Amino acid sequence: MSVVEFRKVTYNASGKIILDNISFSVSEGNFVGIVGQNGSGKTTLVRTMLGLLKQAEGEVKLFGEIPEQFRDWRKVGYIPQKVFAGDSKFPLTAFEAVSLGLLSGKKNPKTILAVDRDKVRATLHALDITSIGDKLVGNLSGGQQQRVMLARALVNDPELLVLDEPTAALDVAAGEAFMKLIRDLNEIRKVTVILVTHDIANIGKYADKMLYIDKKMVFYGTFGDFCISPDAALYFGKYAQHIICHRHDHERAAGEGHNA
Amino acid sequence: MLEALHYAFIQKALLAGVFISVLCSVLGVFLVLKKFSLIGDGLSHVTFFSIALGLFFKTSPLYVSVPVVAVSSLGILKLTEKGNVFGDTAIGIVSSLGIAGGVIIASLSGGFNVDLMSYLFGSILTIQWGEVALSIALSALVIGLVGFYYHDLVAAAFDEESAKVMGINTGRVNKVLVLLTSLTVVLSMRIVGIMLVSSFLIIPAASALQLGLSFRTTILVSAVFGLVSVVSGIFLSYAADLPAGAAIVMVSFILFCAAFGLRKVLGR
Repeated sequence: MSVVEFRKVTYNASGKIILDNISFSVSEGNFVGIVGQNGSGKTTLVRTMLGLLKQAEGEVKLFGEIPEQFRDWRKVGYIPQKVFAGDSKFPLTAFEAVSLGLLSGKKNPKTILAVDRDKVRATLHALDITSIGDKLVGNLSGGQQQRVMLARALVNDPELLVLDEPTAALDVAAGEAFMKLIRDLNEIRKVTVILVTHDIANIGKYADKMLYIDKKMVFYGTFGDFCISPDAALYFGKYAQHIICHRHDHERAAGEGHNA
Repeated sequence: MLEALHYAFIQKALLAGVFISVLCSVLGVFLVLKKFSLIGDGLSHVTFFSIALGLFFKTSPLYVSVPVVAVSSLGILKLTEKGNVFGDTAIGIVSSLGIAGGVIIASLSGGFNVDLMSYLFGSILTIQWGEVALSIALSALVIGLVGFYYHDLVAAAFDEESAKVMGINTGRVNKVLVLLTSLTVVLSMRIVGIMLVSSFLIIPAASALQLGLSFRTTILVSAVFGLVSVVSGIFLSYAADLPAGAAIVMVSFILFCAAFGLRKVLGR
C-alpha cells in the first residue's frame, strides 16, 4: 500500500489553477523531495495531502484513506512552513511544545501522563536538545527551534514525516545538520519522508526521489533519472539540466568526502 | 480596612469578583495569544445592545444577553474564517453594529436610564446573592470546559495547522473559545461594566505574558494577577470612595507596569 497517493489531482483557488492534474505515489520508506519555484504549488500539494485544503478534484489517499476520513494521525508527523510567524514570546517551553505532539490519538480531556513525559525526555535526548527543554521556544535559535519542531513531530513515532521548507530560515551549516538528521531518520528508523524545498541541487544529496512541479508535474523519479529525462530537458533546457546535475554531483561528492 | 469584610455587599462583591477574575484571566491568555484579545471589547458592545433590548422588553438583561452575545461571537468567528475578513475587522463590524443597535433601542425607549448606565460602568457593590451564585456556577462551568479542552486550546493557539494534523478539531476548539468568552463577557458586565470588561480579559493575561514563563505558569500567574486586581480594587473602592470597576482596572494596570518593569530587570 502506498503511504501517499495522488491521482489526477487538480486544485483551483479564486479561479486560478494551483495544482494541475498531479499524479504520483509515495511508498513506505521513500524519501521524496518536492521541488519547485516559489508559487509552483508545493505547499498547496502538501496541505491537500494532509486534508488541510479540501475541494481538490481527483483522488488523494493518505495511508489508503481520503484525508478527510483519516483518523490515525499518530502515523503522521508534520512541520509546517511557518510556526513562529507571529509571536516569539509565546509562553511555551521546548518540553511543553514537544508534549503537544502526543495529543494525536488521545481523547478529551487529554492528559500528559508520566509515561508521556518519559517519551518527551527520550525524544529531546535523541535530538540532543535536553538542555533547552525548559527554555521558551521563542527564545531559541532557528536551528534549535527546528529541532524542537522535529521532536514534536517525532515524539509519537510517526511512519510518515512531512516537512515544508524546514531549512528556509537556517544558515547553511544548521541546514546541513538538520538535513542529515532527516536522512538518518529515513535510513535508520525507516520513516517515510516528504520534504518540500526549492533547492533542486541540494535535495538530491538526501532524497531518493524528486517530484518537480510547476502547477503541473514536470518530473517524478530518482535524481539519476532526472539527469536523462526528456521531460526535464524540455522544461529546463538541456544546458540547465546539465548544470543542475553537475552541481548535484559536486555537492554529493563534497558531502561524501565530508562524511568520510 | 478589614471592617469592610463585615458588610454583606463587600462579601458578595469579593466572592463574585474572585470567581469572575480567575475566569477572565485564564480565558484571556488564550485570547491574547490567538490575537483575539479585542473580542471582549466587541462582544461587550453587543452586550450593550442586548441589555438595552432586555430593558426595552422589561425582561432580565441576562436572558437576552447570553443568546445574543453567543450568536454574535460565532458571527465574528465565521466572518474571520469564511468571509476573508481579518479578525480585528470582524470584531469592529460586529462591535459597531452592537453600539448602533443599543443606541437605537435606548432612543426608542426614551433615552438612557439608570439601569443601562449601571451596566455600562458596572456595579459590583450592588450585586445580589442570586447573581453571586450564578457567577460561581458559570465560572465553574467555564473553567471546567477550559480544563477539558486545555491541551487542544494550547495546541490550536500555538500552531493551528499542526494541531489539525494531530487530529484536533480546531474549528470546534475556536467555537468553544469564543462561546466561553461570550458567556464570560455577559457575566462580567455587572462587575466591571460593559465599558471596562475587555480590560478584565486582556490586562492580567498581558501582564503574565511579560514574565516569560511556561504555559501553565503563565495561566496561574494571570489568574493571580486578576484575583489581586479585583480584591485590591474593591478595597480601594471602599476606602477611597471610587467606582469599583474603574478601581479594579487601575490596580490591574499597576500590576501590568510592575510585570513590564520586572521583565526589563530580568532581561526576558
